[in-house]
Amino acid sequence: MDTKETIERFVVDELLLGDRRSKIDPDKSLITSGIIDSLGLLRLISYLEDQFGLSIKDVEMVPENFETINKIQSFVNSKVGEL
Amino acid sequence: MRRLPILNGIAALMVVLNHTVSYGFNAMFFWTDRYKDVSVPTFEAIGTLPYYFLFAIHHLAEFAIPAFLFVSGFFLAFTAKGNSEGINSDLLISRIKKLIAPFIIWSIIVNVLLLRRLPPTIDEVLRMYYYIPLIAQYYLLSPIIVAIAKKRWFLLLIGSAFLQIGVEIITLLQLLEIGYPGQNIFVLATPVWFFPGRLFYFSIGVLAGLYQQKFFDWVRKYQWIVLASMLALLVLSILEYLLVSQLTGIAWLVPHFSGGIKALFATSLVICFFAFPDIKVPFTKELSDLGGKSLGIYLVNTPAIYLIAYSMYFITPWALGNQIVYQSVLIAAGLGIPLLMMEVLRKPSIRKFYTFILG
Repeated sequence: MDTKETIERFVVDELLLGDRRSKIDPDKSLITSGIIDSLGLLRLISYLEDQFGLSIKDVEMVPENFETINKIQSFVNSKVGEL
Repeated sequence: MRRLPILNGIAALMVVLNHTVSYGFNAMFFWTDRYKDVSVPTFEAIGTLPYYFLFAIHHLAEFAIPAFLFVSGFFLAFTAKGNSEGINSDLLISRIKKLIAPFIIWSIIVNVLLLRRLPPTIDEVLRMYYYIPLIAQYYLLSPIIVAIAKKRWFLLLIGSAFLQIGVEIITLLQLLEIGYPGQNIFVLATPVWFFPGRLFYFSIGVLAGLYQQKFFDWVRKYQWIVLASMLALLVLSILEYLLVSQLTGIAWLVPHFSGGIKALFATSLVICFFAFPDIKVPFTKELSDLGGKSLGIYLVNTPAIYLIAYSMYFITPWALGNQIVYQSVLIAAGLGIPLLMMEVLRKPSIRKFYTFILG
């Protein structure tokens, strides 16, 4: 499973309660659409750290990095590249 | 920031405890005749060990709503960070829309099905789940609150504290039967679900979210002062309660007066939670999971505890006099029934109702 699929799976399983019929536009804002809330965001960050072996710093926890699935993917890829 | 879901989880637990303890006091003062040969109400249990035990839990549990509001304020400010236009209106609308259906459904369940009445006033409708109208107002006000926080953070801090303590003073003067011009209007204008009464908690969250690094650095730098202040405010808030109880002559004051110093104590308890990042909080995963389910727990625990408490009143009245048994059963119901309901509603065939019912 690639990075994007892994992120999508988390969003569908954990934030959309496993509703696999929901197709999320990878450029749709997860924050403004209400899919992700404060706690959902922190759960996502913990999941990304566990899944990809990352260490996300507090200063990196900004909305720009987690706004859409594509942005999360770019952020994860850049972090993986640092490893 | 990683402690926010844990804080929310503890707050969810405290919401349940706050309600179970209230029923504990109820059994102690108003249902005493079910297990003892006395006439009710009786306040003879005040000063006993079970009373102090319940009182201590109730005092600590007071931080639940402040913690929820802090986390909400924090997240809204977080989304506005680096955004010159402030908070996105779509975000606010989606958050408020998510709250409306569960609020209506659970208000009907509690008022019509359980209490078998139609609330006589709007105040009574909104009072039952007051956190929902309260947070909806803060969402609506958040563009203004965040704008002030960005330009004049100190003004927001002082102004919101002033407003919140002002509301407590209005209540206090009413309890002390001290009149002043326009008292009725002030009392009517400050119900529990109206925004000034809890504004300080939300504002602190906004400030912490907006100035995240500075906030966390500050609380860690002054961690011992934060801890000492919290302990001092704890003592002062208990003294405040005892003093007001004595002055008003009301033996059982909790339902009538929240407390000005208690508000500061609750805030300091929330801040203290971030002051010692090296101390590992036990049951982190469980508490974080609970934090993610806090809205559902908030909505369902009230009717769940009500049903079980009244069942025990009729079926096992002896248990009302044993707080260990009574509290254990109520906590299990207050936590277990909402969690069970969430699991059931996650099933594919009925999943579409989840957001409607539990937010």
